[in-house]
Amino acid sequence: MRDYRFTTVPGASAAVALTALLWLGLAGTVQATGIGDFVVGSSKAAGLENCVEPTEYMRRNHMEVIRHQRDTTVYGGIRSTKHSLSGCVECHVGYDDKHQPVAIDDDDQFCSACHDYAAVTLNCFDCHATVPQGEAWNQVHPTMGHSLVPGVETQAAAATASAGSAAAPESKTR
Amino acid sequence: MSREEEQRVDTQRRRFLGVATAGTVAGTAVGSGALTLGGLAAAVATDAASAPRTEPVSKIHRWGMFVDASKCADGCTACVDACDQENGLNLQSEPHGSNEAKWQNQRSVWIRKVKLQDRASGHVTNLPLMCQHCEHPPCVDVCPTGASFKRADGIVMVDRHTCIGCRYCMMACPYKARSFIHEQVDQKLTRAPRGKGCVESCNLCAHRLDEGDISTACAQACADENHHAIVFGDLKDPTSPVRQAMAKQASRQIREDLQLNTGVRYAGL
Ligand code: SF4
Ligand code: SF4
Repeated sequence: MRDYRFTTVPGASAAVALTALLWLGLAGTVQATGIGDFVVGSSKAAGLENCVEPTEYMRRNHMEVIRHQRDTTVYGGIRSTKHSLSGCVECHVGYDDKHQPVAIDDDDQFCSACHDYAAVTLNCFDCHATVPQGEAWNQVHPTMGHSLVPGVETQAAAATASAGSAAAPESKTR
Repeated sequence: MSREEEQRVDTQRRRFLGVATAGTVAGTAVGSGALTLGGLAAAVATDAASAPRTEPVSKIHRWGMFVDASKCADGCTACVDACDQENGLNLQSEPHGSNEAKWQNQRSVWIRKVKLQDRASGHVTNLPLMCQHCEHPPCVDVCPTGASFKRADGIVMVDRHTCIGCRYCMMACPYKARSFIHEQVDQKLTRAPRGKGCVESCNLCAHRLDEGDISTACAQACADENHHAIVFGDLKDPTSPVRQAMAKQASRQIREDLQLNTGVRYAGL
């Protein structure tokens, strides 16, 4: 997706093409080291094939998905679906040497690592628990819940399709 | 005046619903829907299956409690302690430099043990007082953002995502049921989010209900102590424990003069 600006300018001058190439290279590097894989090795997520929706979809839309579930939960009392924040925490929280969970918004943990990189402040954890704490209903199999966001499946499928064709080399995505 | 008007409209609406769907219960009113009792019971039976809910809450139920103050023991705090555990209230910590008395006054509390003494006779009554889950909640009326709201099943709560911490609702509540979170909270439970700048109050253990577990921590703790002063259940279901208890014993609302039609009713007052 990111690359299309450059690849669809066939009539550009040599200089521009060179710059574009340089940029492409840079973008490639950044992608590898920066966006590559924020999934914490010790988390449950590291052992799973996919997030609750395809990775490409989640990267761009996780906030919409979470917000939708938020209202469904607060007003409708539906907590068992797969898009709950507690599900995110349960699956993505990392563990230290003593097998104790590390707050998910700590530096270099799943949420903060990416949010710091993208310079987007997140305030979910002003109120929400940063480690799974106390029994909760939807933490056992977050991926097994059903989706409540209309059109999520089709959008997610489209995202996977486009990701498959455009960013094939980006294999280890999660 | 507006209250009267509202009630008049409400009554008609209820009567209509009574005909259209099922027996209507306005708090204690013994269900007028004997005709549709079977239908309601069936709906309850399917709905109460112990599984996390997948359909939004609906007005088939109205959750509430019956408290028999004559059974509430002097000195017992089982319900308060259980509530603290269940909803992470015990995880609050005193802000650095605050004095103890002020902190005790400020910390969030969902249930308060209230002790009444009759001046003339000296008779002492104990009772747990929590959010009364009013049908016409003043806290909802005054909220400028819509954060304070009543769920379809009668539970009054705060959507912390939209609460701006103005505390109007705390002033409006006749039962002193609401608390404000003054400081960032380090420890919180997954089921009970809590953060600086929001108001909160008893939510009848909504997380339990949503999971299909029809109980509250306080009622359970009270029963475990063998006091059985608190009964929880569906006010709209004549077969529910709470309605059974209410059928046997006269109960009343605290400050019934306010006509809020509370979901928590008291006997032995
Ligand atoms: S008791 Fe207070 S907080 Fe609860 S619904 Fe009534 S006014 Fe609102
Ligand atoms: S404190 Fe929050 S819930 Fe209460 S009235 Fe203000 S905005 Fe509404």
